[in-house]
Amino acid sequence: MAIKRVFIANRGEIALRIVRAAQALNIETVVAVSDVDRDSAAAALADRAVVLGPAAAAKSYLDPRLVVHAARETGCDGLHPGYGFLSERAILPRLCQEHGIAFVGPEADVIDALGDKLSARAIARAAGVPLVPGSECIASAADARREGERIGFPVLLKASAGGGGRGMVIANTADEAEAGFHKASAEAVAAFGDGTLFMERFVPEARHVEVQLMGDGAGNVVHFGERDCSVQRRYQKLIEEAPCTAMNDALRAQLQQSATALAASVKYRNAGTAEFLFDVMRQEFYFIEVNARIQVEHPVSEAISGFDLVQEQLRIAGGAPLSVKQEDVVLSGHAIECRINAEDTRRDFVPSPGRITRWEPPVGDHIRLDSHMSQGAMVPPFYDSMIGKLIVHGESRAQAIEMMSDALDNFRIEGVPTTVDLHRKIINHPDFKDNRFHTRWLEQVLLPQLQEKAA
Amino acid sequence: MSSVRDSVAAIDNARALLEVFTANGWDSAVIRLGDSEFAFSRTDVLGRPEPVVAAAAEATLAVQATHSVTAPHIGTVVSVAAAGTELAAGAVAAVLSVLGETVDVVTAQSGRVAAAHVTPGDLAEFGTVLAELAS
Repeated sequence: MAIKRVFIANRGEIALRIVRAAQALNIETVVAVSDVDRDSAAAALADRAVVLGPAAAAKSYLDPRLVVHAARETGCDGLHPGYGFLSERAILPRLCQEHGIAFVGPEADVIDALGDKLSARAIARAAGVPLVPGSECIASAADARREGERIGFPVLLKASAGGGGRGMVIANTADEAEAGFHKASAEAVAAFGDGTLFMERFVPEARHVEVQLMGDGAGNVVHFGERDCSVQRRYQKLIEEAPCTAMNDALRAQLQQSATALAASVKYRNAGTAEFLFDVMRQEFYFIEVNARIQVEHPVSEAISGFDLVQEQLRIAGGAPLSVKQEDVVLSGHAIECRINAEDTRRDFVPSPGRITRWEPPVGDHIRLDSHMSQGAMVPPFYDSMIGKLIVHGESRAQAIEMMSDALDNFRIEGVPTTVDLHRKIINHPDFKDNRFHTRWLEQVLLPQLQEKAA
Repeated sequence: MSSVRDSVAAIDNARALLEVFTANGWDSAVIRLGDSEFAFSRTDVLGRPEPVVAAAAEATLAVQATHSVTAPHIGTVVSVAAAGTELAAGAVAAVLSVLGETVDVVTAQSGRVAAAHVTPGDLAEFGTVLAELAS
């Protein structure tokens, strides 16, 4: 049955985005807020806002029982978790089901299966999705040499029991693999009491690509193309693009087919994203994980497909079939998104909450801003520091870059330091323009360059 | 009345900010939130010894000067002490239910219930005044 009133268990720009999507479908909205979010843009726009708890997320947005109780008691028949917070915690759909509320997302068991790394890899392997080439147990230096040659150098030797980089060695040659075995094994014994190692191909300059998926829960899945999210800092995405232009058409088709097959194999319901590591040199991709929720960067896929993914999420959760067939999804042009954070890039990206004293976003055709901010609004210190997402859609990548550069130039924010200026530097960097970057480019190339200039 | 809610919020805010501060590994931070200012420091670089404790203590003082019992989180009211009831400090002033589980809301100090502001079945949001006490 179509959802009549949806509970929004999130905050910030995504809460506002969901309210708008629901209103477009004539669905009533109730927004959950914490004590410090009473005056948020989403709360103002929604039909109703209820205060769950204090500012601390653990006592408000992260408490599944409070969330579902509030949804039930406000008469909601649907619940949208947004991203982050409880969005990938299986307890939320379980509680929703117990209390007769349609969860806008996958089933609890699917979230569990995809959330576990080993189980997700097994699902991917069974669906024929490529995984990073790797070894079974490496028991000796001779094993390390032989397996390294089979997999192809460089390789990464890792402790089976490992984590946190300990017991990890990069080897570029067979000799290094042999020497690396002794070092990594000794480190692993010291750190974990277990010297068992395994080996994986190491991709020094990898890109991050991902495929936007939407499933009906009955085995039908459509994709909305891929995104390239390789501009990252400490695994946090800063800029996302669609499509990935570092990939040829044949490989792109394979990537999309792999992602779709994976989702179909678990009868995936609602929006999800299959993430891959992309080895540009080899033109190969390897499965990383599935994110069982709508993602921050979904607008770039919406831009090139002209399709509203959040509205589709709400329709599907209400029991509707997919509203498009794959052949109806037509992707055109190139979209770029910059995540604008209230952070001080000169002080190691320290989050900088505070009051926005000036807020003048750029306006124009094919410019989209997803933000909950306005002049006088407060960026509270309790949550993540993203204050908006600026998205442009051009006919080509070059045009999109130009549009983004202009848009950033015309974005005036005062009161808190932001990442706008850093985005300007990235967008206008020759490496970015020439599409020559990877997931560690920002940290290895651009940030050191900026530091040098400042010195 | 609102001062109690604000004070409870101030304590919660102080705790949450302390968590943020600890998690981020900062050396020091001064955070302004409405009328409150929270100063955190690992060393004495700010020249303000034990600012966290100071902020919490101030908030506690404010609680002691007023007499309201508020909802610590959202919940459905199961019961609330009737007007005229004498309550010792730490006594149950109201009971909330969250998905069928009940939570006791206790008084911070003793007093006589001057008025109950909610009735069983009401959905009480965080900070809602459940009852007022007169000492």
